[in-house]
Amino acid sequence: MSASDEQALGVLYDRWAPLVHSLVLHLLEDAGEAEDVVEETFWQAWRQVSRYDPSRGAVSTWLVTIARSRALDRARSRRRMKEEPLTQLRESDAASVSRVSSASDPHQDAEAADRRAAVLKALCALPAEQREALQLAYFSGLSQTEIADRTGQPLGTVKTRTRLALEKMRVQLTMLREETA
Amino acid sequence: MIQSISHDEAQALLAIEALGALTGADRDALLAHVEVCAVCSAQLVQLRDTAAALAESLPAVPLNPDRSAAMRSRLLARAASDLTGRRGDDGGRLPNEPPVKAPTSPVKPLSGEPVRAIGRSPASRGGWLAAAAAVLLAAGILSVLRSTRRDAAVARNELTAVRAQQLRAATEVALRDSLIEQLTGATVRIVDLTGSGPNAPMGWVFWDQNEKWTLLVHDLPALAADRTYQLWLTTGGQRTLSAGTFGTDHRGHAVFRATLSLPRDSLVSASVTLEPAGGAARPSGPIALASK
Ligand SMILES: [Zn+2]
Repeated sequence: MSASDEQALGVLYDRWAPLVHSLVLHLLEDAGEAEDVVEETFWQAWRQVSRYDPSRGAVSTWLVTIARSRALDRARSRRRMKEEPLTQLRESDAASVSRVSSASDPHQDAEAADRRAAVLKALCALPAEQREALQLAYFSGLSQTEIADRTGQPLGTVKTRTRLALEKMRVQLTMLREETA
Repeated sequence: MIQSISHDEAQALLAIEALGALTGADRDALLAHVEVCAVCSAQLVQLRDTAAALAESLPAVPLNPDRSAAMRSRLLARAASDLTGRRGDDGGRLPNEPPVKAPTSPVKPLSGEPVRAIGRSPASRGGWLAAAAAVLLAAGILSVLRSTRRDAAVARNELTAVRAQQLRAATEVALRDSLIEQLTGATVRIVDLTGSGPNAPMGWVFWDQNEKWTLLVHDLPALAADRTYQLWLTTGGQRTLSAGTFGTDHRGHAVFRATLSLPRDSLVSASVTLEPAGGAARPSGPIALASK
């Protein structure tokens, strides 16, 4: 067996570890635990590479899904999940992200900043209550029922908001990416 | 017993599932429907990608460089020992693959070169080739190519490894086939093709520097019944040779393989033109894709 298999894992790590780390750190708010989850995520990806089905999404989606699930499991078991949604987003966030830089590869930095700007722009375009439903579901890992309890809204309203929010995001991101492609 | 739900009921649940917030019987019922509904299945893929993109909205927080390097080394070392000692405890087994051989057949002279084989449509090549193409086109390769195109060396290294990994992930059959060698071998030359038009079609020619050619194209316009696409290769002597004709699937994707001997390093440019069905003796129709 050549070294190329491990090397491929290294490529995936170099490309996606910054994103995975930013996500799990946000979910866990603990640097040590976040690093553990990053390592577990790439190890799980390595072990399960034959289960990866490209027809079910991008490689980044696969890695982010593994990482989020592991981080939320940890957070739940600690019973100290974040209670509040993301800090308020402003249009100026989208404008300022091009200054944010994390990876060592400048092309990758620029691409990550572009992608972040697009996602923030799409998020900012949502009505506040839809954005909140989306963020509570994705970043706090709350069920629709829990979000209904949290926000005092009927369950049906929460479901509708969540659905509209993600579908609008999808359309927005498709348009924004076509603009910049 | 999994409860059966209607398409409309499923539609209402897709986003919640994509966000990882669906559980229990609702989730079982949705996934059972998605298995048999192409519309919901395709939407779920898109919504999952959209949900994962939420992670990109977060401020980037770099890993500590020293600890990240240590983690990377640990992962690679574990992976290496895993490959030698793997017992397959969770379905994570990597298929065995034969060692990649360098091309050994002699380079044939250019004069009087016959076009010995013409590529076929993806369908007739068998499912694995289409699957491999789907991987390359769908699994982030386009964004990798776009983001790294400015730096050919970076693109080359990254792509070789990512391609190998993703082909491996896509299908075990591809590993045993020569395709992986043809796309990732050490001598393979990659030529980018771009086109104009609303779909911004793209393509790549992979040449093993001997006689094997693989063309992947993405987003070409649909063909009229009496038209075909034709791949042309231009050599240093400004000879333009046909590598054959091909069609695309309904999304404008195609994988096309041809065998055509050219001397190493002799390729100057490549293009795809729209020609009458059956192909033309020399490029005569509009250019659909061209290298820079
Ligand atoms: Zn359906």
